[in-house]
Amino acid sequence: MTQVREGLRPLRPAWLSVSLVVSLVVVAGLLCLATLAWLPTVVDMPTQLGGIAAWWVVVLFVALAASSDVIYVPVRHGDAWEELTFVEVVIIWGVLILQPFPALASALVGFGLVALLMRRPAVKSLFNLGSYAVSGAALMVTYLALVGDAPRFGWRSVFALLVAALVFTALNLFMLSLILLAAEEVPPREFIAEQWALSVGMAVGSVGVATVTLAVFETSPALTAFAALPAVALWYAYRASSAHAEARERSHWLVALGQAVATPGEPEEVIPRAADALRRVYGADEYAVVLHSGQRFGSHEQWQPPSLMPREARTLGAQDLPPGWTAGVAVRLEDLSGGGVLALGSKQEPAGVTRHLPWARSWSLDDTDVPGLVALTTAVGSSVRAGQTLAALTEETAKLQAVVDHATDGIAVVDATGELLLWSPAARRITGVTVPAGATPPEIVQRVVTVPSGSGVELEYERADGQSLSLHVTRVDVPGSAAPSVITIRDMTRERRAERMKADFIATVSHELRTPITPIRGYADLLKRRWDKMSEEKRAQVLDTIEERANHLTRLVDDLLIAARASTETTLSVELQDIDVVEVVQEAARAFPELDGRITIEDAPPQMVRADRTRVTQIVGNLVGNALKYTPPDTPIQISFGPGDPTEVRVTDHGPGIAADEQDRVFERFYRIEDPLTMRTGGSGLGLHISRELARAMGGDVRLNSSPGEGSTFILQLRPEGN
Amino acid sequence: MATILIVDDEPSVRDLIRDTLELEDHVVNEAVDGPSALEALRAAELPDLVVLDIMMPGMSGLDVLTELRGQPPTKELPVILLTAMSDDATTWAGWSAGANVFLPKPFDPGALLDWIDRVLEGGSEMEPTL
Repeated sequence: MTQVREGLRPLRPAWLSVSLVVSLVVVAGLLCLATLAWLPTVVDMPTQLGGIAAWWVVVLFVALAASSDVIYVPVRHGDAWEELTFVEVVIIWGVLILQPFPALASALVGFGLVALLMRRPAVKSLFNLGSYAVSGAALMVTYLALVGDAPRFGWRSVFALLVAALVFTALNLFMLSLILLAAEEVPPREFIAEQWALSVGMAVGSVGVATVTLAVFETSPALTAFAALPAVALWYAYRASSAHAEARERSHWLVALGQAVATPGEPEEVIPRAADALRRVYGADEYAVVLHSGQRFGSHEQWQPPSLMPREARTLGAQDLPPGWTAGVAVRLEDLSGGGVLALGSKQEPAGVTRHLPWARSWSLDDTDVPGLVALTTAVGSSVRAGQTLAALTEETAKLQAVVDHATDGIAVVDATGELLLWSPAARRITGVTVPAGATPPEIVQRVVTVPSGSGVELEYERADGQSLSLHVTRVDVPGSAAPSVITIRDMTRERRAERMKADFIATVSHELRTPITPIRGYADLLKRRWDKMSEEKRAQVLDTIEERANHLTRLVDDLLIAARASTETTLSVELQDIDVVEVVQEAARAFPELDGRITIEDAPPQMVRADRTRVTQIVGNLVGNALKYTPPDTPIQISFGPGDPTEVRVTDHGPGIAADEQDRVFERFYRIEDPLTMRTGGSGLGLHISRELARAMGGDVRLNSSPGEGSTFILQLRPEGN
Repeated sequence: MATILIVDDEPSVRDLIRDTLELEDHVVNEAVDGPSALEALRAAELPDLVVLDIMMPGMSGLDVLTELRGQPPTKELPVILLTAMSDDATTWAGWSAGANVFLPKPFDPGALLDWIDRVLEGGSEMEPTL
């Protein structure tokens, strides 16, 4: 008969339980036994074997049955190992030699003894005994019914035995499929389809072995041993072959384990593959892995491994086993950060007295297997550790790469031999130079080769596109001999320009503030000291000057405040109303004494715009003042208007004009084209800046059209009325 | 009574100096920038003293002074430099160019008169002032 090691998948009716199947089988077995006991009273049964007392035969049968249950040959069938026994042969012998009841009863006693001695689980043993009783009784009744009075070794008898053995097999398969469905949810159809050929072969073979040995025994008992020899030889051959197959499979899984371990990865990649290979190497049914981090692998997620796990493999006691396991060993997983426990185990019978190889009925590890298992789990641990280190390294590298790629500063790495290892995108962008890794570093890198580590140089750099940059280049040596140097390239052009602008601004503002203070303070002093000597007219003139200069100073301070506000606030406050821009411009221009000579205003009809009257006056004043300041004294300045949306006020001069690359910068805060020492007088460098800011606050803008040598037109754009 | 040339682009400063000096009976001439000052000094009789502003459009007072010191007739001409920039670099540039007195704006007219008197009396033996 066959037993199955590995189960398949679901579909069991809810009412079908293991205990129900076992109970039914046991009851059916008892009924069959009773039937066999009752049978001789109605049927004339064949006699005993010649010369031997019947009770000796019964004892012999008990012994034969017991040994047939213990001695078996493992056979590889599909994915499972199946154990072929001589149980059928003994039962056929029984029906040929003894009366049915003693034959079956003595066989069952033999099986029962084995179960007790081997401490097999009671439920399983009861089921086996019940199913043997049912199928054995069926075999005997079938045989007796078919053989009639025919001679024991005639054609009819052999036919009857074959049919009886098939009935035995069929019933056996049926009951096995039931218990497997109940216990492991193995679909019966699949199970029978898998098993029937092997079972039928076994039945036919058993008939052959049983009849031949018996016939020889009856003819010449001395030759019986020879008749049994082929069977024994076959048994040995099977065992050798299965051991060979076992070894081959083991090496196959060792190779698989090697591959799993040789590919370092995350625990979730390595551990399932490696643990499954380990399970197969050691013939275990199940594995469970729990890492210190809490990560779990295998089918028993709720298992808590024993807290103190020795380095050596340890047989797990009932309290340590994962649920559903009947036997198992656990090993500490070495080399994993925090460690872990790997357990291999079996769902079969518990580890018994004997410590068999995996194909034995009870699963456990041989002592000689332990060092190997420890070494292999250490390898698994190392592999996972390596994988984690690799992953961490990869992540770290990716982070550094992102930093290098997105840093604003250019980064270059040069090795000890002076070879360029890295030239970052920012380095390319700043210098405009593309250099492949491995090439000689660009000249700018060579400049810092000799400076001490941690320091740098400031240098002026002329880029290929003609831009002149202020660069700060620093070098830091990575610690370690022959280690590379990291060079950073910072573009300081804006900072340096801002610094220069700031210095210019301070010089300018200081000059601009001191210039009006000089006459104010001077005249005040003069009035105090020389009041009497000064004419009435002179005093009035002096006071006018003081007043005018004080007003100028006030305007200057106002301009500074507006510029400061424009740089810190999102919008400047303006009071919008509908005004006639032509009239406002005429009034603003009247403030300039040159109006009659240089300045001409287009004679235009009223243009209503939505704007702040004071601010428009201020802007027009700035634009006209600017034109007066920066153009030769005899050149005309024209103010014209452009109706529409936007409504425009254009101030055109015929001065030197402004170069294209300066045109945007004249609107920058504190920007002046000239050297402060020799600049044409007046102006803080704020006029155009605040004019544009104020125009934008009113929803308009100030634009510039200019070509060097021809003059400039500053255009104030305003929104038409109602907008 | 002395003849004094005032060189400054800022009219109100020129007016102040003129008024101050005329009240003390000095004769005052004016120039609005560097080139016209140099022209005035070449064409007419030399004044007794020049009050020269540093920051002027086109040509700075320092350039004018350097030019004056390079010509024999004006080599020794007393010059009082005026400036609204009183940083060290400008001051040093002023002394190096050969100024007799360096007077930062804003200044007291009295102080200016004192310096003019001292320069006219004692030639060029003036200690630096800031």
